[in-house]
Amino acid sequence: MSVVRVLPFLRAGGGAQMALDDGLLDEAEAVVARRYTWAPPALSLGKFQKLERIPGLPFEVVRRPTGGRAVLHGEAFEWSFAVVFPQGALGEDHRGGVDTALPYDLVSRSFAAAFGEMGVVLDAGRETPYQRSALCFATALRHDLFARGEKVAAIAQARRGGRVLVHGSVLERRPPDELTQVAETLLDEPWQGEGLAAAGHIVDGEMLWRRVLARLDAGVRLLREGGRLRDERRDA
Amino acid sequence: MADETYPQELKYFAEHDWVKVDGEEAVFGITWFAQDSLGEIVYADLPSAGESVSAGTTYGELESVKAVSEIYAPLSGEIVDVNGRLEDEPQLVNDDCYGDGWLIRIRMSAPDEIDSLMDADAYKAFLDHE
Repeated sequence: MSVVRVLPFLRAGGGAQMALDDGLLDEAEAVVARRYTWAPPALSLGKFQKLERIPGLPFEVVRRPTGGRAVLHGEAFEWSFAVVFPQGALGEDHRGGVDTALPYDLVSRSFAAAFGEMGVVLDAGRETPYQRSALCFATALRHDLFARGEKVAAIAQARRGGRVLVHGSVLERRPPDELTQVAETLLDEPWQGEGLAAAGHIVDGEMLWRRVLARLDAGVRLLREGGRLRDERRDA
Repeated sequence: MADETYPQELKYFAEHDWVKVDGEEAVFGITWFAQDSLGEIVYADLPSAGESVSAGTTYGELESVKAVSEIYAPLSGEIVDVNGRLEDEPQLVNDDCYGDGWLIRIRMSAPDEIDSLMDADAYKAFLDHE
């Protein structure tokens, strides 16, 4: 029996999706994971990201409980996921009771392993200084995943009341021009984010997610037993 | 970022905040451990002067490159000052967490709450024990 409670795939608008993740961050009593798509398309902003609202946009604008920069979401080119860890879900022996890196590591490595199983060769981990870009897929942080130089999965996190929410977005292909052009105008910078297709990959999202869940489950069990995560890109 | 340090003259709260008691007032910030765990701070969402805080409850949030994280009040009281420099220079929390990276100053409403805080040695033991 899995230690990760998996919620059904949900196709819904951004407001409902973020309300659900916000509720999980407040209430989850077990490790909970879910995959979802945004319909209609939406632009999500980091919790404190500033943006002047303009009426008549071709997409919703919603705010995530997690940090980071703006992401365009839509079922034709992207899907999202959330994993919530209640306090102590990954063992209790972390210094000061806090380990902001561990949930990130677990989710990022689970995705890296799943991508590998599906033939997607990821670039070696990279981390650039935090860029003040307004676009999430224009930045490179330690736990983001890249293939052939393209950011293919972005990961952000929020901590509240002892729980941790890890949010992420898998970019399958470049969003349609009618969305990116409006995003460029709104955010005042050129679009960046071509996704898996530009790296030469078409990946079945549900199949990838199932592999991620298997890795997540194994990782949670390992950490609870006092084990350490293995970075397959570095430890192979 | 400075080396790991926990000044003896400060008090510490289990949510990784420090307190500098100054007469009837107290200054709050986050510890070296907290800022190191969070990574580069990119935004500080702090309350305004005149608002109240209660010991053990959240009063703001810090966004770092790793996470959006709540900040907890070690003591109760009314906020008399907020570090406005963090609006433009949030990385001060990393660069000088016990100095220019302070967060808020309060006028204490229950000074005896200080007795429940840890000294530097107890906080270091807390970090190593947890």
